Amino acid sequence: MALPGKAVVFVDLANDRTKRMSDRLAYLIMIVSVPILWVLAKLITGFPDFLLPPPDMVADVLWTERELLASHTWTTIVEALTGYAVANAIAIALSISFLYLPWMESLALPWTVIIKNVPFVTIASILIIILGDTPLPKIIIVVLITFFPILANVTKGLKSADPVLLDRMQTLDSSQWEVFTKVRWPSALPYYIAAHEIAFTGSIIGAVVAEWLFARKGLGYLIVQSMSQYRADRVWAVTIVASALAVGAYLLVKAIEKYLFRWQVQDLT
Amino acid sequence: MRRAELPLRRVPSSGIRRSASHPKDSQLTIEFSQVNKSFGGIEALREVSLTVKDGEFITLIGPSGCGKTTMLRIAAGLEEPSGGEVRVNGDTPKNACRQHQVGVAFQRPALLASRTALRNVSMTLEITGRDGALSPDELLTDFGLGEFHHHYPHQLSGGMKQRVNIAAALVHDPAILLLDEPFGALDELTREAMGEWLGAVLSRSTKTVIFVTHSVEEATILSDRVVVLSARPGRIAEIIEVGLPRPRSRASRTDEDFLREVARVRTSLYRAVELSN
Repeated sequence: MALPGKAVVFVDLANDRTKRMSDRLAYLIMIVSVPILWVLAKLITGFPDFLLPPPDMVADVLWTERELLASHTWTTIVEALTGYAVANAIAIALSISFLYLPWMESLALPWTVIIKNVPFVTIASILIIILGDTPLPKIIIVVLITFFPILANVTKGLKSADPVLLDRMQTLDSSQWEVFTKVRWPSALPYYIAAHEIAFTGSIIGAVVAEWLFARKGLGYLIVQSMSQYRADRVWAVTIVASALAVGAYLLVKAIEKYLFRWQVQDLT
Repeated sequence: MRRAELPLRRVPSSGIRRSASHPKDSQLTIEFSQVNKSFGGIEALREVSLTVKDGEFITLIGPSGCGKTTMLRIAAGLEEPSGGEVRVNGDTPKNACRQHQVGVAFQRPALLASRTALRNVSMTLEITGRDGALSPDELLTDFGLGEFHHHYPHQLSGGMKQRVNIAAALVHDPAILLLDEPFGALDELTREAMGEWLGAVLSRSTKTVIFVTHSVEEATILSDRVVVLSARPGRIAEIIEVGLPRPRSRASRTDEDFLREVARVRTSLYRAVELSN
């Protein structure tokens, strides 16, 4: 499937039909198990409803407060997507510059190390002090969290182009643009998609955490507010919404991946 | 083993022939004169001089590290000689590439995993333009891959992949074909069949070919001349004219004349190996 001697992050698509079936079954079992475990936990611990609300109570919150939840969810989505778009644009532009200007990579390396390793919660606090209650600190946090995996993967992907193909392109006197569009970018694509798997979900987590620190809108804010009011039922409801959002993002990436690389699983006819 | 027989069955009128874009009056030559090449202090080639004539099939053979691949890469303009020069029709190899006169195929097929066989072949034309080119469709069918146009490389066998690779190197109808151990990764039987197939394909054309191989039999059955190189540093030990009539086929492999020529090349190769140590 992959080229020999390369650590390609090629898509792990289950080829075998029975494996696909059992994978789906596993998801189903998990979805059914969650409320059962939940009810069991309540029975065993005996926590009262205001500490550990039962599933039906949380379901009730999800329904009756749906408009409130939806408006805060929307804020979070907008912040996450804006930040994610910015992160993608910067990371891809930088990866391409690394390919053609090696000194750029040397120059950028210390910065990327800093961005990757400085605890973002402290940076978030600093940003909130400076920028206050605006969407900007949340967007910047999302960028800081999601930027690095995209940069690392696309950079590696662009450099993973098969040297034999590059030689062939050279003997055909192809332009740099053709080399990029026909060889470099297709080689980087599996790496880029693999980055989305990590980073797209990360964008939602980043936005929620940034709101959680300081905000007047968004799912993170709703958690803080609900906690201060001892509304465990609503905290649970927000948790479910945020999780659904993150899992949805992941599944979306998986679906795109499956569509883009559908040729990999095509059987010999 | 359908793939071993199919390509030899038909010779379509659109087959690989020198097209009008390569007029006959200009006698094409590839000339190595006093070529030296070193990689960071290691001498890969020393004073290699060789003239490849128009339409000739030349094989480079020799122990590993003798610089045969380097010679080929210099002819393809992929490496610059450290000393001396290579001229293709009196011009630099890079300019020959610019005029789309060169087709290359390496041991590892240069195919894009996300393109079908057909689109891998037509990629060459996307780059060079369609002037005087062959039809990728017909070429693949001619190469016995009629049913595999829309298969991806990972769905093809090693021999099939290499045929797609060579089709991609040929489709813009270059005058020169440079092949670096194209069958080196194949099993013995497929390799023999592929050698025979290549011989048949090229017998219908007037291409000038430089072919790198480790196999004495392959060299003997395909070549007009076999250039035997010795290693450390790589230099030409001997050039052998293969005195076998064409067309040659698998049947000739058991021929007495063939075996005698093989023995000649092998003896020369052994001498070159001794020279290298």
